[in-house]
Amino acid sequence: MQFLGLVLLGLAGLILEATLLPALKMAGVKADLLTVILVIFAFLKGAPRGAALGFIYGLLEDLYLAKFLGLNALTRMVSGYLVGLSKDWLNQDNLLGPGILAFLATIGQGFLFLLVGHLAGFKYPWLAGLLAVVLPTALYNGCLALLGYSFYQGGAAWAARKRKIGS
Amino acid sequence: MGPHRRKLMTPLILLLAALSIYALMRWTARERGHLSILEGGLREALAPAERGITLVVDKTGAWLAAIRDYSRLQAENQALKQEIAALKAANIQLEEYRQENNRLRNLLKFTEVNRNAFEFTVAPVIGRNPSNWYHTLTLGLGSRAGLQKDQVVVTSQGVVGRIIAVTPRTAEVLLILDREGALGGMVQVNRTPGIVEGSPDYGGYLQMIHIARDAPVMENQVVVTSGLGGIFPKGLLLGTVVKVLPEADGLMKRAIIQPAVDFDRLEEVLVITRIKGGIEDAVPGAGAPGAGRTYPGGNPAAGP
Repeated sequence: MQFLGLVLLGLAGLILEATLLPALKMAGVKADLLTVILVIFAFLKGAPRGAALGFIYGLLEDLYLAKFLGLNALTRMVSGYLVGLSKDWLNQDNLLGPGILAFLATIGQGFLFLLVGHLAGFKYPWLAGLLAVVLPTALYNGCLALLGYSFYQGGAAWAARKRKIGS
Repeated sequence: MGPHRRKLMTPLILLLAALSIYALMRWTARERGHLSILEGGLREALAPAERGITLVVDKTGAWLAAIRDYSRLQAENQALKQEIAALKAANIQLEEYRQENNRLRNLLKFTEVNRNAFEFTVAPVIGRNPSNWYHTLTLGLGSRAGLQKDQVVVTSQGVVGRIIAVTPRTAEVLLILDREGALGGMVQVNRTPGIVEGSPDYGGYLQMIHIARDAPVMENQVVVTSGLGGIFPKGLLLGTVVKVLPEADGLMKRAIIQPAVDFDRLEEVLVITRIKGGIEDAVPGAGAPGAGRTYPGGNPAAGP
């Protein structure tokens, strides 16, 4: 059930990225909602589940783009796994954690995307790709993850209080 | 004084008093420059009280009226608020229609100017690429509406891109901004050819690469499609040169081009579904030297 919910969330993220987010561009880039959701999920659930969700989200994106099928699946899977490793050594109460992880994950993911993309035939110039796309997206994603995780923590605390009152 | 005289005094005093009052009445009946001290003093003394009481009476009357009318006014207020909201919504809708009408009118003007060269289909833009790496649009029409791969997409401003994939109800358009959307272009005024593609370091701009160092390419020159490559017809507007930069090898230079189309605000586009007479002949006169004028709302090379 949670899996289906996450897939639906990913699809909703993709649709928003294709429709609403182009109107909210900053520094020429739009936020990557799938990365933000993936980072928060992997931060909470660990490496194996982070990698699985990363693969699914990447595959969804690849299917939507109908181009270089597997490129996003691979890069998102790796970033989901690496972010998930932080579950064991980062305090989950730390609101800054997902923000910093999203920033780093976007940079790593972008670098990997360019690297694997070059092997697959997507010849995007390295420097321009890193400076004009990856870095601004990383900043945007970092801020969104910080905000998103704050909302998540607030919602979780509220739900816990409700459960306590109910019991 | 005897009782008889006292009896006469009383009517006399009354008569005198009556006469005095009559005289006073006659005197005060006239228009006077100043009131007497008594009159003025009294009036001044009573004025604040009068003012206060009048105010209280007026206010009380208004409050009573307001209380009496409260429920009616509340209902009226509610109705007016609803009317304002409905009018605002209608206004917004009308503004949408007005803008859509303007856009479609421009597209229609463009199709009329170019009707001898192309056949068009108007298609709505329903989505954009979710990734930051590619520049594509999704159109709300597909193969069922006659759209096919490699058909060229334009607006009245200029070239948007070409269709790279179609489903029965959608079509994906690769924008000329994309690195993979490279096409043949030329500087309109002096016919200098080059390859036009998305600029990786100037986001949202195009660049014309492989220009010889001594080629007469300068700022503010208009760049149009060259027709080379077999997909884009010759003479469609691409943009305007805003900067010319030397390449690192020292032999070539590149021109940064501001696209004619605002890719972030596309709502409807025209798909060229048929080019009458082939790519080269599609835009009459486009290849002629000196065909260097642009025509607002029309194909820059099509002429008036």
